[in-house]
Amino acid sequence: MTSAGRCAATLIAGLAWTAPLHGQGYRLRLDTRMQSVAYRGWALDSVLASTVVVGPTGGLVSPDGIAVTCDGAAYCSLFRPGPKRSSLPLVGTADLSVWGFGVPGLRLQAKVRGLGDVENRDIWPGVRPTLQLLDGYAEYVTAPLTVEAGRTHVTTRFGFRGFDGGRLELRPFGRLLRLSAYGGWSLARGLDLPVTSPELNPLGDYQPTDRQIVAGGWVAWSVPRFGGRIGYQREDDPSTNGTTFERAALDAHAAISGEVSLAGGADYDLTSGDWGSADVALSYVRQSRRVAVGGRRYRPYFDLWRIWGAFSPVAYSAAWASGAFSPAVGVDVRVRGEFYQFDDPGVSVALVSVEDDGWRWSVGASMARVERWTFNAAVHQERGAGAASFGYEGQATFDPSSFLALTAHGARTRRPLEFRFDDSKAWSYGMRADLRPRADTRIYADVQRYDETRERGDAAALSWNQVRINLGATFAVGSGADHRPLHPAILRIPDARRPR
Amino acid sequence: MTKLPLVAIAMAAAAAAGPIAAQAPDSHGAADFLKRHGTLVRQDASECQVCHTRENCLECHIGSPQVAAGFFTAASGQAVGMPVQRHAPPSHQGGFRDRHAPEATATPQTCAGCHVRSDCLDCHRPDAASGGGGYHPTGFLSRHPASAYARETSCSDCHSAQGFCAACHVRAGLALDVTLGQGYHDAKRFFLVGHGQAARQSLESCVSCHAERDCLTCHAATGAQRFNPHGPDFDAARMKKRNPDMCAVCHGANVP
Repeated sequence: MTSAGRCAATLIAGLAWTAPLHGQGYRLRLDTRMQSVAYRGWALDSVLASTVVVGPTGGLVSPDGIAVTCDGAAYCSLFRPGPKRSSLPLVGTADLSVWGFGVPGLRLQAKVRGLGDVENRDIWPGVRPTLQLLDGYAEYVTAPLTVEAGRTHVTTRFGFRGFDGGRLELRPFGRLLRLSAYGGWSLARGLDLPVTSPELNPLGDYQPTDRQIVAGGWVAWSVPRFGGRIGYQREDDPSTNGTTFERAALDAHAAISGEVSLAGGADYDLTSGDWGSADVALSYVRQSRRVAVGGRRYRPYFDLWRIWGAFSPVAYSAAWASGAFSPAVGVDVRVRGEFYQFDDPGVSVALVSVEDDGWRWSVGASMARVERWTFNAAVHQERGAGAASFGYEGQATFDPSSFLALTAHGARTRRPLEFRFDDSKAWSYGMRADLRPRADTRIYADVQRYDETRERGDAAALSWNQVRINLGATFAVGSGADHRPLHPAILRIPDARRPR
Repeated sequence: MTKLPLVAIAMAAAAAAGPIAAQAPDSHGAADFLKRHGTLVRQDASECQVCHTRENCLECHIGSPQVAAGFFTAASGQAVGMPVQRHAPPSHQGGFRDRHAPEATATPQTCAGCHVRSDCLDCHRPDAASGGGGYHPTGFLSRHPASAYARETSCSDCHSAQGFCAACHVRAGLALDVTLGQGYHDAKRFFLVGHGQAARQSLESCVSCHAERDCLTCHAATGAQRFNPHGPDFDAARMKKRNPDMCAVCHGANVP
């Protein structure tokens, strides 16, 4: 049995043991989703060097017209359009919270996900292992204290990191001061699997034999108008006795007035001696108006069980501004723009020019002035290192009743790449139905057609299309006063459903 | 017994009059009411309880139910209380989802007023069946290279570079288990010899297809080419002190 399975079994056993206790409460959310998707990639092939010919643009091509790369060997290589590959991933998630064991403040929390592919093809990423424990811990909370044990997460400037272990938080002066320490066996970054999992090694690369040990803590304060946190985290590889991660960070938020606030932070990489990512944002919020300006600096980090940190990745610095306002009742407008510039990488070759700066902007609007109708539209463009894109999208939602919403949507995208001839154009358009027969039940179905054209100067250009289907259902049940309808925050974070 | 007909008459009259149109007090219309209502409740909740029950508070405060502990529950046979209108605070407008990290990290207790921590996993641990319409807009897959090369946001906060990015790129034929120089980056004729700048700028994108062995073909100190991959500010002594085994991958037993 995997560690995730053991944790789930322990949790279920604990729940069964405590079930008869008086006053027990629970909250359970079941979420099931399925999608039908397809994609086309590339397939490496080769032809005899003696068979290549000069193509219409002057370059060498294969007998069937696809550009080839020849290095003097007997064979030349080429990339053909790959096969159409389709998949039907199916995911079910159960989020359970149980309390009332006779110990006030004690709660058990578990979030378990079952995954699979209905067509049983190894095509779509993220459907293995078939059972994943996202979190599963016991929590004890009193006014000055929080204790957690099990599989849990900490949210820090270093990311959303999971681990199997414990966390302690002390609040000796209420919200004024919080002291936290945590530690345990680390889970991989961006995924709740150990770094030793084969699912994390699709390239057959080096992989640690043991899980890292993570330890960290923070001091946080919150006084009227000013809150902040200073944190530290490190990870060590027990198999090599080496440190794979060690960083310190500062985050702060100041309410300058009731309408103006300043937020930001930075982290420092103690292993390389470099400043990591940083950001600052000045926001003005008044009723339906929000204006924000800020700057940020992004430097990727790599765990030191891999070699990439020694390749000296450079940071970029960006300045951005965004705004949201209502020019009329029922109309919301959103704008955003950003410019970024990479640091000097310390290397350049005259034969290859590479973009080292870029910009991106988007404008969106929502209108709810017609009874039972809501309209959304957005335009976005970005241009810079590696790739560019330009697109627009729109949707119209009709609410014939309180339990049904019908949406028609469409989007157009154009995306050229910097390092490969592959200018992709895509159209998508479809219909979506959201059904809420009860306050604690939500069902949706989305069908869309997707047409893609890839432009190249050879026979590898292609056009293809597909129909994508998304189905899902969410149910929430519970007991007592905490039985709740589906909270908007669990459906999605607030503006996630709007086109950007 | 004599009261029963009176109750029936009263109920019939109420039914004939139709539902009562509730009018929120003037205080609820203030621009900062959403922000100040917690303080008002802590000062004196008796006025709030005239209309609201514990269930009403929990419409939003599901993440911190203790704030409603002083309210009466909607027991059987009693009114359910005046429902509240749930909506996001003004601070959440205009791309807040992309830039919520600093505030969420500095003052998580504010977020916990409405959000449950495990709900963060819905976005930060996306599942394989999440189609368009979630965090990313519909059709994002087609244009994700532009957002990923110069990270529009930190992709790795939600996606594993190996388990998600590389896993998909392998299936799409972008990541290859063959020697370099096959001509995928055909828009730059001499990309192989001049890839240094692109690599340092977007190394996270490179390693979503390339394994360590690809780069070590030329960059290992023990190999034939021995091209130095370290930047001008590289602090070798510092990294060696933290994790000498990483240095040994390229330098072998002779780590300088």
